[in-house]
Amino acid sequence: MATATLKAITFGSLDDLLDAICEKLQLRPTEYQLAEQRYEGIGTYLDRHKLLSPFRPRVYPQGSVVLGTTVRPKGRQEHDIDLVCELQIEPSAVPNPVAVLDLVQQSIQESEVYRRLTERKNRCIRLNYVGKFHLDILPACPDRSSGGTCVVVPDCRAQAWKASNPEGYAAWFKSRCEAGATALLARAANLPKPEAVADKAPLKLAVQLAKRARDVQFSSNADLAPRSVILTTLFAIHYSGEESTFQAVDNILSGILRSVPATARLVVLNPMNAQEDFSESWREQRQYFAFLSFLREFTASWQELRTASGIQNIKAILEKLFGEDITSDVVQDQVKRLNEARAQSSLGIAGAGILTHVPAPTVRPVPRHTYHGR
Amino acid sequence: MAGRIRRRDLKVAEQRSDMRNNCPEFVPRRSDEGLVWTGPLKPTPLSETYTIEIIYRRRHYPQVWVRQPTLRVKVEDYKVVHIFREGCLCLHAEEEWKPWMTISSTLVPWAAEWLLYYELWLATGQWHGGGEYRIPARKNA
Repeated sequence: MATATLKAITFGSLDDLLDAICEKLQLRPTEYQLAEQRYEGIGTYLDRHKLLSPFRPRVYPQGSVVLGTTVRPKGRQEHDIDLVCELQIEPSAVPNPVAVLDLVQQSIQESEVYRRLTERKNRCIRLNYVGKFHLDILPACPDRSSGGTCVVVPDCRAQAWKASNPEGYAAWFKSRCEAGATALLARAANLPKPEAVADKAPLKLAVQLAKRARDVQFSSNADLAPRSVILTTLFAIHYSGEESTFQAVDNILSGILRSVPATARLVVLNPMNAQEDFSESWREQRQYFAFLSFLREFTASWQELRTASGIQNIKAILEKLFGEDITSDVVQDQVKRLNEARAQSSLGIAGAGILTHVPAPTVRPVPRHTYHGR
Repeated sequence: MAGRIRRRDLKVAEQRSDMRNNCPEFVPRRSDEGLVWTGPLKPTPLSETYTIEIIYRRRHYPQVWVRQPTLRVKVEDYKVVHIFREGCLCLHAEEEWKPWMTISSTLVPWAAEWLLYYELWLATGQWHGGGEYRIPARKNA
């Protein structure tokens, strides 16, 4: 049996399993279609609303749905779609920024349908589609002093404007997926179509895995969970173009760990608007320490994964990281693939007993046989 | 129509030379029980590497044993995972192996497959490889 580099039929590599996990984390087509319809509905509504039209509203999606890093939620039933409602208002001319949030809320609540779904949050108006998803509508105004695509958003708790740049951030993330190539700023009003796992940049998959690992680890204390935008930013900063998802996560985690300062806390700014501190909540030590312990545990599990052998042992680590339900589903899918190949007699053996598909020149088919016992 | 060609049983020496050609990692030695090959099997890139022993004596079914690592199977589970009472693997129905067949193209890949189902059994608690529980007579091949 000469060693051959043949595609193993199942459990070929950790990347195969990680990609299969990401597959399970993707929104289902029906979930996406519904979100798209609702998104377009509210977008058109806001575009045309008489209270907003003097400010020439521009509605566009932001966050994970634009980045391609959406993760189906664990436990709770809803995922979120974030959208910006940018209004041509000069921020300095508004004495009370929260009035802009009020204005958008008032416009939304004039609709009978939307009124019942509305929930006011600190920076956005949320439409709750119970059991499905929620749409977070973030009012924003162009920040001409910072220029480019920078905006300011009203913050209720602070009773002030807060800096942001969702469009610039999306372009930055896209360029990081190419590990530095300049990505064009895509000013799309539509919800981007979901990308298949096989077509995704490993950075996107790495972020999806990190978000899922976070959801699992913080399932009983969600208030301490590090924000998605922090994980996304840190992962994107430390990604250096690895083709393998496993390797990408491995290098990213060591990069993040190395960047943690010995005394002061880590600060995660919006790379496209340094005035926006994503890690504001880390001023509270409890929050920051929760992140650090998550980071260390994630790294430790990843190192275990690197050296583990035996499907049962690898499955146990993946369960701890990403949850039992999703891991079992992935293993069952691999079993199905194995048994289909066996039923079609397309199972072969190559290398040091590695099962693979036939035909290939160095592969010998496995004859039909029946396990026996007594 | 041409008459059926009766296949000739392979001699122990022929099995030995076939194993040398097709499974060079398997090292043969003589023992009281017959010819014994020891070699590694790793059914998938993510699996453990197992040390297997195949014992063959002419006119007997070859026996396959997993020597390393120790199998984590309790005696009461032998039936479920297809292990004989003495601890070697049950890899085929009687009629599925004939002495004209090479060990390298039958018992070796069957053992690799068994190891994969064994790991899946440890991982899921279920035997996914199918099979029967009919009692095979341990008679000569």
